Amino acid sequence: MDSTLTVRAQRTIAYGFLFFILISMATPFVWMISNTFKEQYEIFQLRPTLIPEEPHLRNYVRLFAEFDFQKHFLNSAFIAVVHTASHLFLASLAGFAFAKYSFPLKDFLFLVLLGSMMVPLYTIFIPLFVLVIRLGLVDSYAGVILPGVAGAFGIFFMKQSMEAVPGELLDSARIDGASEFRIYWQIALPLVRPALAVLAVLAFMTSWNDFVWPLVVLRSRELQTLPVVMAGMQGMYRMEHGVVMAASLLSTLPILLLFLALQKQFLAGLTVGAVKS
Amino acid sequence: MSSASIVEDRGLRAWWSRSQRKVLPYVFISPFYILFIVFSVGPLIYALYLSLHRWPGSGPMRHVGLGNYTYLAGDPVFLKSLWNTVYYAIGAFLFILPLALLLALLINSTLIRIKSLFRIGFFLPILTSTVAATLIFLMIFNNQFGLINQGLTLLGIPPVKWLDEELVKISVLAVATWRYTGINVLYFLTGLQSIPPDLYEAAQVDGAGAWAQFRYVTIPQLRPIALFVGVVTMIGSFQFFAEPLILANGGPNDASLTIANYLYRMGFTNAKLGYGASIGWVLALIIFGLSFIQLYLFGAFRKED
Amino acid sequence: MNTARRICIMLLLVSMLTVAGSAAAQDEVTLTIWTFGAFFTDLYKGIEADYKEIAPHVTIEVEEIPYVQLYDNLQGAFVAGVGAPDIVDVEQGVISRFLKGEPGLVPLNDMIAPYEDDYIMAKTALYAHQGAIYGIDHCLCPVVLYYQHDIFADVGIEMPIATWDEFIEASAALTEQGIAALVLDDRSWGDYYMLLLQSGSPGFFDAEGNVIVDSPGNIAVLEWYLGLLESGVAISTGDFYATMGLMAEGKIAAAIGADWYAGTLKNELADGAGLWRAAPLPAFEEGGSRTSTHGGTAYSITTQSEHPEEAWAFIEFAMFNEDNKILEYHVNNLLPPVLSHLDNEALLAPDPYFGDQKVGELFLELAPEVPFQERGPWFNEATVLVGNAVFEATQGEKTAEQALQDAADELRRQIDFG
Repeated sequence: MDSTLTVRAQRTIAYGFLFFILISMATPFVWMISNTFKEQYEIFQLRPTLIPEEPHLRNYVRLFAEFDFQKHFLNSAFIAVVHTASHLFLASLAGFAFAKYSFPLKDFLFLVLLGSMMVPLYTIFIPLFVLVIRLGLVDSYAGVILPGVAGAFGIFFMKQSMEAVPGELLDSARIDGASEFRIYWQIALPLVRPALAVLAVLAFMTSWNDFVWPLVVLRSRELQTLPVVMAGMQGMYRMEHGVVMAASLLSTLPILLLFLALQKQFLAGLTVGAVKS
Repeated sequence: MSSASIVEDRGLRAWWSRSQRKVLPYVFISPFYILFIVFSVGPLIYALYLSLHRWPGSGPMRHVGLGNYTYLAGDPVFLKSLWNTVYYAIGAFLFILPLALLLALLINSTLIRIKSLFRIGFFLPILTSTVAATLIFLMIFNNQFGLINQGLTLLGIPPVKWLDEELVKISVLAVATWRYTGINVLYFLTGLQSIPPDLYEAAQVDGAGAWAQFRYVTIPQLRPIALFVGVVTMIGSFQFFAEPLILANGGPNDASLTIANYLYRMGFTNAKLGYGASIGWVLALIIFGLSFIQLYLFGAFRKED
Repeated sequence: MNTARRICIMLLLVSMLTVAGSAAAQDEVTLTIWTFGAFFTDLYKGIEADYKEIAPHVTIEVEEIPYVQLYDNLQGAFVAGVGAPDIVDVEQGVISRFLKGEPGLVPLNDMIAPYEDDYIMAKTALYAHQGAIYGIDHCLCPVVLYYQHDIFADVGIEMPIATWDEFIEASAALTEQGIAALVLDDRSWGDYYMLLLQSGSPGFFDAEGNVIVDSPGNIAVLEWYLGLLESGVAISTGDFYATMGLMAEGKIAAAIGADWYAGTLKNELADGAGLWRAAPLPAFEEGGSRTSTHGGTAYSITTQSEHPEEAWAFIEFAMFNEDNKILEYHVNNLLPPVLSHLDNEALLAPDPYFGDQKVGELFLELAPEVPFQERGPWFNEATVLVGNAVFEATQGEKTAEQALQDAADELRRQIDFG
């Protein structure tokens, strides 16, 4: 019987396993951080160093001085914020509709929605690009944001979370005379805060890391986003490894901060008790 | 449905509140469908048209009927890329998802107190830019001088060719596991935390032990999120693109090439727009079929409420 | 010769000024250039102001787009029928897709014709199809043998070595010490292709566009290539940085590479300064060719450009003005494919990285020997298949003959398919 394992032993095993995985996953990341303080030759020594031999900040200085990091950072941030806010609203609203209403063609429409997730980008890439050119959206942030803003992924995700919102709560609000939008906004939405927080991180990350689409749509250098500029550091004949890693490290910070800010929400959970109070 | 009787029963206000429940859902979901029709359906139809032609992107199109599709069925590289993609998908379901679920259960359990450290730690890899991550992994996997092989040499084990034909898919999978486990941990955690605690309380009142609670509360309650994770993973696996390309350029000898990589090679690099479009359509149909089966098995189409 | 050249250019500039002056009433022209690296952007920024003086109505707008996406963008613009730039830097590895159908690039034959005697015309072959030349290469990209002087000197080998046979024989002394004389790639086509061109093969196609991947000559070169790897004279490392590491440790003594490879060595192996030298490639037989060519990027004009004449005038300025090409050399290490530029003192100066060797003299001497090749619209398909064949043969999965035959059959099948 499992009861022979004391709680203490269980805890040791659990921590041991978690730390093992954590260290395996963190090692490449830590090595990356270490490389941002190294010269190229040290990065490629056959016996790699974890602690830089002669640490310096030149890669970071070059990032700002030569690659205009701050400008592209702000461009990416603007796009990501607009995308995330619109996506959260549209996805939760549609997710709410799919989870909490019955309406004709619902199954069919949902199937279409799921089907849209399955359309590989590269299948439609050239036609989509041609369309964006014809619509005059090329070289504008609208062209970057619009096609993906109501993504099916987020709607699917929100629907799955909205399923857990008790129907009785909504019905009692209806009896109190609340409008359907108000029920969504004031009752359902607060209940799925954990899912919203997760989706916010995901949406922000998707937009922040998006590479292929902004690259094709945006042509002016002033409008370019961070991943595009970072890929540009990957030259044909030479790659600035230290600078690329420094850029990569700094570019993880916004998502990391967002993650830290929202992680209390992940924990909040969905409790009927909290709703009643 | 007789609205008149409702008016009689509940008054005008009640009638609207019933009617708006019929109209508003369509309003709520309409932004998606408008954008979808403009930015996906249109291009998709054009791609279907392209797939019936051979066309290098300029000059006259040559109509070939289903010729691209029949060629595809006998194209050894396409079949190889199909197999590779299936391999990655199976790998994702066998390694990434069980690992993610296990980690999520552990983090969520009362055994573990420092939860946020692990949540963040597991999430870090996916935040890393693909370019930077791949550079690091190239140094880790190099056939002769990579970190792993240097470690093996210290232990007296001969170096292993991680990026050669036999092992390259496993190496790519390892990178994918590193990168995508954390996000799935997050999904599962969301699901676990959405389970109302009173369900556990009720189970405890009924005398259920830890295993019974897991079996009869956690698993059924996780079903919606598990379905979501399963479908997303399957779709993601079949659209897998970046890691095999950057880590091994789809090689050696196309051993790590995915369908999406091959589609890209044909549609872009070789300017076979028609043939590329036919690969795209086959890929979309495969994904669609598998997702449908998955959704059906999970009973996603049953009526809610 | 140099002075004469300068006078010619002055005259050219004056005539351009006159044209520009007479066209003063002309509308402002903006030329958009797409390029993929700072090493070209810096060139354009560097000559922009000078060009403004010659052609005041022309504004140059450079858009730097990462290599991996630039050509997909270009293809999208061609398919859409709008959005292409006036001038685009076409890297030699991607040109073939734009030669299919009706190329969206302008044939430049008439424009390059006046320079036929000065420009190394072999370089136009990379961008040509059915007689039309669609690109003018920035770069000569001649291939030489880069070697670590001390390693060869230690075992008493004197460079340069006349033939590959002698090189292989002499390398035994290095092999015994666990040093590979050469590094060769066992999983792609590039190194094999360089040597193939040096051997006198036109590459993967003949002049009529027939596939010659499985010709006896091509098979022989691959068999020889396998021999180098099997005997230990050459080693393959699987990736670039491993190669650099092994060179730094003295485990790899030499490599074949183009002019730009010198820049790579200087960047990656800065500590090797003074140790490295360059020599002509050993020939396949006494008196045979001592060089090859590898890489390149061409100026092309798109058919969507509304100002092809102005576009060519700018290319002419960037390409045939000696000062500009020397500036470009300083920016990106690419040698001009123009004979009259190659004797510029800036290129012939002693290079401290190469122990004050005058590497430029070597390039000047080899320039006329840069081999011709045949490419066309199916080159990219060929490189993938031959790359796989090289891999299969080096792994012992197939013989060289079998691997190349299979690749050739598949290539013919793909070409038939269209």
